[in-house]
Amino acid sequence: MNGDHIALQSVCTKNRAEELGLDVWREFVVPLFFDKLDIADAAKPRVIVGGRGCGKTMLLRYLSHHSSFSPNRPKVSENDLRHPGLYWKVDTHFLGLLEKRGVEDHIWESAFAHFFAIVVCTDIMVCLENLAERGAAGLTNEKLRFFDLSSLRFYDPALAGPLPTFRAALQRRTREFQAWVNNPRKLPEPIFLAGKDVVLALIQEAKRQIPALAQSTFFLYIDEYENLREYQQKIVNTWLKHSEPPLIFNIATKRNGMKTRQTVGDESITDIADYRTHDLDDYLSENNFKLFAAEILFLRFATMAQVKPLPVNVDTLRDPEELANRRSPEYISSVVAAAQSIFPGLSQSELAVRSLADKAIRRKLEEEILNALKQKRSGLDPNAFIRPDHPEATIIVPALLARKKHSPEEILRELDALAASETNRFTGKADWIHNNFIGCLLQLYAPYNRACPFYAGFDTFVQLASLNLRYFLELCHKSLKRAVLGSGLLSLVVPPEEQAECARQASTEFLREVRTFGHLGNRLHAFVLTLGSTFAMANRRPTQSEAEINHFSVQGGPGVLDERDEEFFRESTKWSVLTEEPETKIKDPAIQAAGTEWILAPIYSPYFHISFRKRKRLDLAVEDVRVMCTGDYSARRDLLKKFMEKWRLGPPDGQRDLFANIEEDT
Amino acid sequence: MRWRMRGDVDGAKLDCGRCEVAIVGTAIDRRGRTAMEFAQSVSPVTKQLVYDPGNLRLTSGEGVIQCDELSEWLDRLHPRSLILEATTLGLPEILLSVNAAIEIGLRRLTLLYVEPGEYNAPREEVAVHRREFDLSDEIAGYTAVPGWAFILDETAPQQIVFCVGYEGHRLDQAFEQLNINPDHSSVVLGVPAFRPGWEMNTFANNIRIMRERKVRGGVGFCAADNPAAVFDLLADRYRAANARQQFFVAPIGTKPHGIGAALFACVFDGVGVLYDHPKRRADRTNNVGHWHLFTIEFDE
Repeated sequence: MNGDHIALQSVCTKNRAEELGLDVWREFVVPLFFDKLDIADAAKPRVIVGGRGCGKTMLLRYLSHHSSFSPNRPKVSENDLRHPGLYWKVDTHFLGLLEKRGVEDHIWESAFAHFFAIVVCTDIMVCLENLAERGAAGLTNEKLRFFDLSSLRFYDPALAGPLPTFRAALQRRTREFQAWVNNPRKLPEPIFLAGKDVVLALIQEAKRQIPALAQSTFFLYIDEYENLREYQQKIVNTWLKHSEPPLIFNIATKRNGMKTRQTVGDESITDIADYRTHDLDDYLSENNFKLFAAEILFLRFATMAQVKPLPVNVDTLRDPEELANRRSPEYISSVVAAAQSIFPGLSQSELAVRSLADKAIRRKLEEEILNALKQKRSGLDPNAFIRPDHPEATIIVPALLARKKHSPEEILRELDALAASETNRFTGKADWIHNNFIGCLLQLYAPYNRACPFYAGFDTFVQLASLNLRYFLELCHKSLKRAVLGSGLLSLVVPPEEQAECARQASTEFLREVRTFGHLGNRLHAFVLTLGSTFAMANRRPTQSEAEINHFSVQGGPGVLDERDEEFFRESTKWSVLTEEPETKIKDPAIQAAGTEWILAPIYSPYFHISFRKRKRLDLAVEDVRVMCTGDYSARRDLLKKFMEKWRLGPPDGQRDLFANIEEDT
Repeated sequence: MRWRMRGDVDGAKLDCGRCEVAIVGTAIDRRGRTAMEFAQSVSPVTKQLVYDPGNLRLTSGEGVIQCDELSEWLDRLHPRSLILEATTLGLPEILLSVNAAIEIGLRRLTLLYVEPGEYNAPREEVAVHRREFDLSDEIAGYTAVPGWAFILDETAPQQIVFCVGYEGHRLDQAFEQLNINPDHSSVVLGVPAFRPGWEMNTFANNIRIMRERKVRGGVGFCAADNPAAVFDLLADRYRAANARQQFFVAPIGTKPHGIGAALFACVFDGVGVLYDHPKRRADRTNNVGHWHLFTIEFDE
C-alpha cells in the first residue's frame, strides 16, 4: 500500500484544532449540517454552541479568511468575498486583568472596546494581505501598499496613511496598551479607540477601495466567548444585538457559557429575535455522526499519509455543494463499511464464542457456576450448564443461578429447550440473553488486567466518542499504532483485542484530563471517579438484576438540588463530563415528577469497565450525590462502602473498586 | 546580583541574622506553621500577605493592598532587611514582594523555604495511579498577575518556559486554557529532586503531557531546591531569545524554582508570568524536611 507505515499510524496524531493552525482548509471536512448554518444569510448573528470536541473552533477557523482565502484552496469564489470571516480567540489570561484594581468600571469597558478594535483591525489587515497574496479580489501586494486610511485620522491621527503606517500604529498601540494594563494607575491612560466604530470605519474603507468587496459583509467569529468576564460579555452581547451589515458578530461558546444575556443597556439578547443558535451537538447527532467520523478519518489518510485509493473523494469532502451526494444511502454505506473493516467489532455471538475459547475466562465461568450451585445446595453437574453451541446463554448462566427466583433445574430446562430450538426464556419473551449478556460479559472480564473486546469496533468507537471528534480521533490514533498492515487500505485491520486495549488506555488518559476542566477540575475528577466506581460496583452484583447501569437521577425529582449543586452540574455539562436528558421510566409518577437523568460520558466506560449503552439507571439520594460532588476522600470512601454493603459485594470486589479508583487524601 | 544559599535539616542551626521585617503567608500544615515561627523569631515586625486572584489584589492583616501600592506599603515599614517566608507565601506574593523590595532599593533580601517531609500519599496500591498527587483543591485557572501580563498570541513568536512539579495536569491546563504554542514551549524539571527518587514522580506526571501536547522546546534540569540555577537558566534563554519573541515563565513546580523564576521576572524586562493560582489542599504534605535560606544581594 502506498502511504508510509509510520505516516499511516500518525494520521490521527493531531486531534485538536489548535494544532492545525488558523488555516484548516486542507483538514476540514464540510459537516453534513453545513447548510443549516445559513452562511448566505448576511443579517443574522450566530451563536454556536457545543461540547468539547464537537468542532466549534475548527468550524470558526474554516469560516474565517484564514481558510477561505487559504493558499491551499484552488480558487476564491465570489461567495467567499461576499462574506469574509474574521476570527478572534479570546485571550482569557490578558483580558482577565481588565477589571477592578482601583480603576473604575467605565474605564475598563472603554479599554476592552479599545483592545477589541486593535485585535479585529489587525485581523482585517491580515485578511486583506491574504487576498493580496493570492491576487484575489483584484488585489495585489503592490496595490495594498497604497490602501489609503486617511479617513481614520478622526479616531487617531497615527492610524491615517497607507497600510504599513496603519500596521505600525496598531503595533505601537498594542505595546502601549499592554504596559498600561499592567500599571493602570501609574501610567497615563491611552486614548482609547472607539471600539466597533473604528472597525466599521476600516471595513468601509476596504469596501470603498476594493471593488470586489463593495457588496461584502464581514462576519466576526469570537471563539471561547465563555472566557470573557461578565461585563465583557455584556458589551459583546450589545454588539451582537445591534449587528448589521457590513459587520455581523457571531460567537462560539461551550454549553452554559453565557454568564449573562444582558447588554450594556436595559435590553437582553434573545434567541431567534437577536441571533440564531446552532447547537453543533444536536446537528452532529441528527446528521450521521458515524459517517462524518469515517470521512474525517479517511481525509486524514489522504492528507497525512497520501493513501490511495480511498472510499471517499477528498474534493467532495471539502465542497459544500456536495452535501446531497454525501447523504445518499449507497455512499454512506460504503464509507462506513470501509471504516468498519479497519476497526472491526464483534457481534454478541462472536464475543461469546471468543470468551468461551479463552482459557482464563472459561475457568472463571466454570468457577462461578460451581459456586452458584453450591450456594443453592444443588447436586447438578456444573458442566451441564456449559453449552459450547450456545455460548451467549452459557455466559449468562452464573447470573441466573445467583437469582433467588430461578432454580438450577429451571435454568437447565431452559437451556435444553434452547438447544432443542423450542420456546425458551433465553431468546423468547423473557429475553434473558438480550437483557443480561453484556453485563455478564463485563463481569467475566472484570478481574483481569485486560480490556474486554466489547469496547472494540468502529461503531463502538463512535459511541464511546459520543459526538466528540477529538475522542474519536484519539481512539483511532492509539489503535492504528497496533494496526496490521497489508497491501492496501482494505487490508488494514486493527484486531478487536488491540482496539479494546487502546480504548482502555484512551479512557484512562481522558479521565486524567478532567482535572484540567476549569476551576472545579479537581472536584469534577473526584466526582467522576466516585460515580464511575459506583456504577462499576452496581454492575458487579452477581445477579445482574439491573445490568449495564451507567446513568443516574437524583431522587426527589426537580427542585431537590440547591444552587451549589446546580452550579456543579452546570460545570459538569459545560465540560461534557455529564449529559442531561429528561427522565424516562419514572417508577411511580404519582409521587415523583419527571426530572433529569445524568449520563456519564461514555468515553470513561472502558476505564471503569462498565457499559456505554444507555440501559439501566441508578436513582441516587441527594445526600449521596452531594458526597460525590463535594465530599472529601473519607466521605466518598464511606459512600462506596455503603453501596458495597447494600449490594452485598464481597471484600475482594469492594476493595478493588474502593482502592482502584478513589483518591486518598491522607 | 549575588546568591547565597544555606541549608540544614535543623532550622535551629540556620543563622540568618536579624531581619527587620518578615512577610509571611498562610500556614496550612505543620511545615508552614514551623516556618512561620522561624520567620517571626528573627523579625520584630511580621506582616501577612495573601494574594486574591479573583480580585487581583493583596490583603494583609490591616486590609486590602492594591498590587501597585505594595512598594509604598513596604516602604512605610522602613525595612533595611527583609525576610520572605516562602513556604507559606504563594508565587504571586513572592513575585510582588520581591518587586516591591527592588523598587524601594532594598539591597539584601532573604527567603526561607522548608521542604516537605513527604507529599500527600499517592494511591500506591494501584500502579496506574501510583504517582498521582492530591496537592491542590480548586485551581482558579491561569489568570495574569498585574505587572507581568502580556497579550498571548499563539501565532506570534513566543518562548515559554515551564518549571514543572508533581501535578502534570497543571501543565496540561496551561495548553488547554492559554493561547500558547507548544512548539515554543520548554520544560524545566527539578533534578536532583528534594529526595532521591522523587524526580520519577515529576517525570511520570509531566512526560505524558509533554508528549501528548507535543512540547517541542526542549527539557532543562535544575536541582529542585536551587532557585539560582533556575534564574541562570532563564537568563541564558532570555538573552538568546529573538527580540521579537514574547518571553514567559510558568513556575508551577517547586517553590525554590518559583523563587528563581520570580527573581528573574523582576530583574529582566518584558517577562510574562503564567500562573494558575491553586488553592493548596490542607495537610497536603506531612512532616518537615530540609530548611533553606536564600539570600540575594542586589548590585548598586
